[in-house]
Amino acid sequence: MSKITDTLRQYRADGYFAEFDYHWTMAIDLDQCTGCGACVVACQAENNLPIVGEKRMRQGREMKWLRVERYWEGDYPDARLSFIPILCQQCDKAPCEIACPVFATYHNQDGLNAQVYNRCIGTRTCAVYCPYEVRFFNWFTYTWDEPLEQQLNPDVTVREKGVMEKCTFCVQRINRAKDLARDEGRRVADGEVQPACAQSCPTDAIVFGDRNDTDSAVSRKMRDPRAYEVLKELNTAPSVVYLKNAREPLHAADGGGHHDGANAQAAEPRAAAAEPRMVEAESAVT
Amino acid sequence: MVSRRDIFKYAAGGGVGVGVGLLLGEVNQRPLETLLSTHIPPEDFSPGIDTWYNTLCRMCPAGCGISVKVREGRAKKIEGNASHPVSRGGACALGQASLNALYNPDRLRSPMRADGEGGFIPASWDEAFDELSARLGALQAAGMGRRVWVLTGGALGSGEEALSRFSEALGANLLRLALDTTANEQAAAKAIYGFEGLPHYDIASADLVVSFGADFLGSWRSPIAYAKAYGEFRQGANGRRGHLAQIEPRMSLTGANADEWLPARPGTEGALALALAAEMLRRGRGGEDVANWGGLSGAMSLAGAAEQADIPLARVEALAERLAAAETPLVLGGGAAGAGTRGAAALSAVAALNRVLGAPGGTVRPNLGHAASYASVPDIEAFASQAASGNVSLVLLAGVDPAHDLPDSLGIRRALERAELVVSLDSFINDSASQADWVLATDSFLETWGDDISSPGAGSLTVTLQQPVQERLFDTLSITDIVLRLAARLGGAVAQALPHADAQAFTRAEWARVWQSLGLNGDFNERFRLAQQNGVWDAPLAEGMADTISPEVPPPPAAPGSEFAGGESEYPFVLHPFVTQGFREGQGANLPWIQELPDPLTSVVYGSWAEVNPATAEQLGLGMGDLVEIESPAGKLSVPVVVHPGVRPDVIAMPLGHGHRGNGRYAKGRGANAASLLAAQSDSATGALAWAATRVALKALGKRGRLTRTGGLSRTLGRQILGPGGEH
Repeated sequence: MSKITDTLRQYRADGYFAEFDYHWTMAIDLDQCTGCGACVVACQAENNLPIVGEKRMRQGREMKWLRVERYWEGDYPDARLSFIPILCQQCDKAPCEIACPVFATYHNQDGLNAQVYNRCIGTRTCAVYCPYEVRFFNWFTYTWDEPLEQQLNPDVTVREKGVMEKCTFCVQRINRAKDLARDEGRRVADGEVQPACAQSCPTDAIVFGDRNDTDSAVSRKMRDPRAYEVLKELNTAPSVVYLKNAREPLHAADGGGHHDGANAQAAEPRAAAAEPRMVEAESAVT
Repeated sequence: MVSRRDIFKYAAGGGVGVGVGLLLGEVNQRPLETLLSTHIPPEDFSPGIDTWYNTLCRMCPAGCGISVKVREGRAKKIEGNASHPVSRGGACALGQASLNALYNPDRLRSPMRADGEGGFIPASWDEAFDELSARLGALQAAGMGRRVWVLTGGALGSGEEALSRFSEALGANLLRLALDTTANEQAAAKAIYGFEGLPHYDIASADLVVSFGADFLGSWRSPIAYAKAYGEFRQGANGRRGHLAQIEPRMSLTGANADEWLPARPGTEGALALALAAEMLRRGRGGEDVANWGGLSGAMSLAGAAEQADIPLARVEALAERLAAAETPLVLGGGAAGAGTRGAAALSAVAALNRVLGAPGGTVRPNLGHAASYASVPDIEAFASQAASGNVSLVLLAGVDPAHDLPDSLGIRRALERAELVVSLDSFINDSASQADWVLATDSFLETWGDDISSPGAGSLTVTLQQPVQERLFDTLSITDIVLRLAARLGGAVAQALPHADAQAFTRAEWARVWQSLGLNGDFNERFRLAQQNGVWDAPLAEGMADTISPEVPPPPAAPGSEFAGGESEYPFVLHPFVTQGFREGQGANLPWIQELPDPLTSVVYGSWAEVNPATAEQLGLGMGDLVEIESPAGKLSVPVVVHPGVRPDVIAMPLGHGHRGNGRYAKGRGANAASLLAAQSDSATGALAWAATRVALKALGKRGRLTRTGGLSRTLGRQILGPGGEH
């Protein structure tokens, strides 16, 4: 146990996260993301996510490591919808890691926020600490209607009741690429490994790579002036970087500007008000 | 060296054999055994090692190349084929979820025959072929081939060629069916660009895209190819960011991503496009090819068109300004804008705007000289009336579900009831198959051979080879296999037209025939082997295959507004049916991954809904999830509402593809079928189904519907989730 705490302390020391072997990072360009959901299905296929069924969905037990959130602005006819894919941000200062009493979630040598399923005892503390709501608890042992189970990816564990799970950046793909590179006595090349979501993206909005390599595609994306981190004020040091949508602000075109930043709350429109509170309450994910 | 076929034999003889034995009820028999040791596996059957096969996705007509990961003889994951010119490595949600169809628990495991009480009982292929060939043979001998109708979809592959030859030799009728066909777009291309087939749109090199109803990022034509192009259009290597304006009464996925969304009144898109074309001519944008168009006498003034479309004149003028200033503009038209009673005219107006802007030859290019031709409404009505008068002896449903996908008002469901024998070739007991006497269990596209020509494609001849990535799971055959075996049993002219043993031999023979007819040199076997490896045969268009843009065409006539079924006083709203990427016209409903994928705009899962503007909802006292009854002149249904600001107050929008009566546990009884509301309206020029030309009335039922949505708040509430600054 003390070895684990020592290692954890070491990982959490300031500046350590600049010294990972690889520093896997994802950049999502919201100017290219169309919200189509191809990444969501890719993730489900790759990572053996269960089919939870309509009843569980209604209870808010959606099990999607990657989801596309949607936000409305303005009122008809000047309404606008924006999409943002949200997945585990693989924080370098992860709130979930300090919460786990059994070190089932920890930081690994590549800067990944890893989850050890057979160490997890299901206190669900990590999910409470996570500000991004990307941790999912198995309240049930889900099964697949035969023969759907034949699709299951043999490279990924199927989780059971009582275990917390979340996005791994497709660690099985990363490990495979690293093994191959090590066998060949080299480092993993840029673009050699892609998580399922990035691979499937029809607009190439998702870029994945090693931040330690300053020439990598993801490092270039991070230097874009549009780059930002979600909930940056929480100081979680996420490994997912978003590039802001480059659309002109709503109403800039017609010179209207009748609700700008200061009036965001006042402009909160009918559509949101029309939503019953119940629907929102149902959406608690853990 | 072990060949691919040996591997499949090995797979069949090994673990799979046990499963098949059980399925055939041979529980007490010893499973087939093999002496092949797993310690020396065939080279691409090593436990723990992925094998990737390049093949073709058949979930929609776009013709994307995919790569399928196979482990231990089972398909595990579908990704885009990076070297395919259409998909370029991308894959959509529906294509990836096609694995759910392969492994679907409700997939048919053997041929089924109706038990006469509404159910089905398993049968053998011999029984099926005996009965079918006897019926077909008798009809053929009596010279009554015309009493046979083959109903199929609109792909361009060799499988469809087999069906065509089969029908032709039999003297049968062939109907190619789909709700949203390409007929109007082809008619517009012929009228304004002077070429046959569908145009190739170069979105990536456009600096301005104005789309009239074409949801090219969601469901229109070739969404993956267009999405790839859109990624470059937004943040491409050229360092220029394209501007996208979307004109449509209900915000589509493309509308949600647009820089500006202009909610035009339904049916006015053509007049608006023509007015913009006239404005561009006035500003001197037109080249020599449109010199004789004058001021486009049929066009309205910009102010008149803006008023008719119910868009502020200032915004239309701003759009005209952008169009006039654009270097490489591109105008698209499709979806509901091209599915009114004047759909072809509206799309011609859109094409005319492109022509005036000088897009043809640049962002609009001629493509293959041919595209699928679909049955028109009069064709379908002829089938229905023949059936009504008892003149239809046999209907062969080749992988289509018209009883669900097409409006009831066309009379297909009744026609299937009246036909003497209905045979469905499908993997599921879908709505049409439940009316059949025989359902012949078909392969997943991942288990058999075939090909398709990508249409609209990517500006070159893209023929994608479809090959089995794994052994058949069940006792199934492909549609081509069934047709070939029937032909062999029938003998005579039909057998002569189709002398091939199976789908593999036929596909190969078709490729060899095309190879020869194109006069290509080189070793065909080597070329075919390469196609199997790459999954695609991509060639520049040969001489005469692509039409050219005609240097001079007559100006388009005025584009009058669409006429809607149902009076405005009785039916105050226009119904806007829309196609989503996951469900399409019904193809995705039996896939659990698609049912659990939140709808991009509304986040609804498991079921359908109607979209209502907040003002309309307030007026009718409706809240999110309240149940309403929607009635049109053709039918009525009840469905919960989703209230959001992305739809016009005088429009009710409903997704297509839901509300199945059959089709397996994931689809059956979920949501309501928007197609059942559609009146049998057709385009005045092409006869194509006008699926966006029906009015409806809305009545609150005073109770909550079953609406399941994911996600939390629909506003960011100042959390800056979408980036710093602004109100996000």
